[in-house]
Amino acid sequence: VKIKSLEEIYLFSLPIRESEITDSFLGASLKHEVLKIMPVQKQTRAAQQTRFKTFVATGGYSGHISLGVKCSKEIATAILGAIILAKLSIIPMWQGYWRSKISKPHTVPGKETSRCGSAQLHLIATPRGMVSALVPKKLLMTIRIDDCYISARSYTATQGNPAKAAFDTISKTYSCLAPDIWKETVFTKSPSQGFTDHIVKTHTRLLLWPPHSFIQEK
Amino acid sequence: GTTALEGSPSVPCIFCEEHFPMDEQDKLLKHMIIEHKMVIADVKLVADFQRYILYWRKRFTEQPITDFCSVIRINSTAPLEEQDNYFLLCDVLPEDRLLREELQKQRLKEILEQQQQERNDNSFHGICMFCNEEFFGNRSVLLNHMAREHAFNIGLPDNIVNCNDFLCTLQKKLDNLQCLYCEKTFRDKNTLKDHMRKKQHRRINPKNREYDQFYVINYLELGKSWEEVQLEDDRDLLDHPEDDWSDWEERPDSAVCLFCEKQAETIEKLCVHMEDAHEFDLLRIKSELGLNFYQQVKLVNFIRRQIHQCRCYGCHVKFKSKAELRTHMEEAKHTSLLPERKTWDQPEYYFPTYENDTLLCTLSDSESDLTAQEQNGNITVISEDTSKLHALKRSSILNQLLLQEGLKN
Repeated sequence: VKIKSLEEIYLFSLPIRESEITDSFLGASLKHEVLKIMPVQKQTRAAQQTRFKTFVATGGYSGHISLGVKCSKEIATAILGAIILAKLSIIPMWQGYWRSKISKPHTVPGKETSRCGSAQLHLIATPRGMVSALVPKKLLMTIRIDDCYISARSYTATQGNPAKAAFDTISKTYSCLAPDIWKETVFTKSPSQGFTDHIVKTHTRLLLWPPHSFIQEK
Repeated sequence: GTTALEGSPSVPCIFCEEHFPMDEQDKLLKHMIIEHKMVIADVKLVADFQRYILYWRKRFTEQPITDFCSVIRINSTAPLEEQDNYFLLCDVLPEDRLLREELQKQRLKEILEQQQQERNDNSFHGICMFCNEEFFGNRSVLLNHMAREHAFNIGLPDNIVNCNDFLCTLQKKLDNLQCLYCEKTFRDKNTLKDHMRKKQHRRINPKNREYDQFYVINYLELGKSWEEVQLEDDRDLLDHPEDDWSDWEERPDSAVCLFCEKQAETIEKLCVHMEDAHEFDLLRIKSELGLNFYQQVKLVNFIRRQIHQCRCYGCHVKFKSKAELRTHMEEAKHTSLLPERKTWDQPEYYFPTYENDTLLCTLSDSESDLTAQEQNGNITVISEDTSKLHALKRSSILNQLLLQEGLKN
């Protein structure tokens, strides 16, 4: 059985269970960027322990992107763990061109908005130039989106999580396009059938029919 | 002790004016026990000794010592003249515990920043300790080489901090003809090399505490060594699931005023400032001219460019400095004298005048603007083809699985 590309997996709503699957399709084109390392307090029955929590962005020219987060005693372990988790929840980003299709797509297809906590993010297409706070910029740069305006509005003093907001916005680019493709899918596993982890949340949001009921209100 | 020397880092006594060098903590501690009868508990666990001492030095001038320290009576069974009281400062006192935790957090933060800097630094230059080959780029290149080619593994690069110092320390030991593992000294370089190779001593001594400072794991928690941390079983952790992003919060970057150096944390605050100080009302301009997001971006970049070139966009006069320009624009009220649209509504102003211009990141428009700009006609954003997706779906081998599922049901 030969599946030709990662896109087929998305089109048929299959979750990615092993990171090697992503490796086999995308392999060398994947790049990783450590977005942040921070100490966190973890609770055990006995006491509180400090651990390192790392946030990693994964993606590449192939136009796929993902985020992973992992806690561990050692930084290297946390980074590797986050990369593996990112590979399990990798999604395609629909890209765009400004004005004409010259060479590769380099920007986002139009305008997308997403909210995460108190942060609201807009991804807006541009002809040239990245205008953004550092974290979302790093995220988009991992998939070689060079040109995008990221506009962010905070409604409270803290900005909430910019990476998550950016990622959620990116994941919507896919679901807003070509809703008729998803209509043809008969094979839909219901989320209650043991799909409890994050990867499935990501994919079912994209792919289950009808797509518009799962898209966050703008 | 002595009074502080010019330029050398020193720590003062908590009680008097005597100073001691930073790296001679024990002298200061001895002085405080003998002269002032004070003992600090677990002093080796204090993350930043100087700051700790300075903090309590100040507090002891504000309140009596007995507010903070427990009193230990010595020779309590002896006659009164032989009895003595000592003062113990320890983390049973909540303020002390909080201080220690804060210093620890601060140190961990600094270590993580240092580690991140080393992880991203590609200007590293080092020489292999075993074959003298030179390496450029990131420190991981040298570490991976030594692990691969010489079976010398001091740990994964991401778990190490102050890597340059670490490598220097190790190189010094070798230069002193000392084995890195058993730490015996040999008579010459070749004998040392043979010894390390034959005895498989191409490792560092795990019991040598001198190396602890180079491993990030030792900074995790006060007093916990890496051995203790490794022994902890993380399966016991009860917490919320790991994919919780909510504890990472970033403070928003400040946005800079169009006309002066003032920074503000939110666009609202900045707009208020620009209105008050420069009589420039961005929101009013936006609504009066009906500007969509793209047009606002162009306007901001245009103004930035004019200000940068010290030119007033109202009367086109150029000035010698930004300060002069600012004075002029305020006096002549030219901040609100925008030139006609075609001057600034040009494609060249899509490109940000300043990199990381946070003001651009906070512009917004209403939801209806997207359709407005499509009607406008001169903005075209094309998305990727979806036709290939359709083709892919039709031709996929997974269609066969679909049918089988259908049959099963």
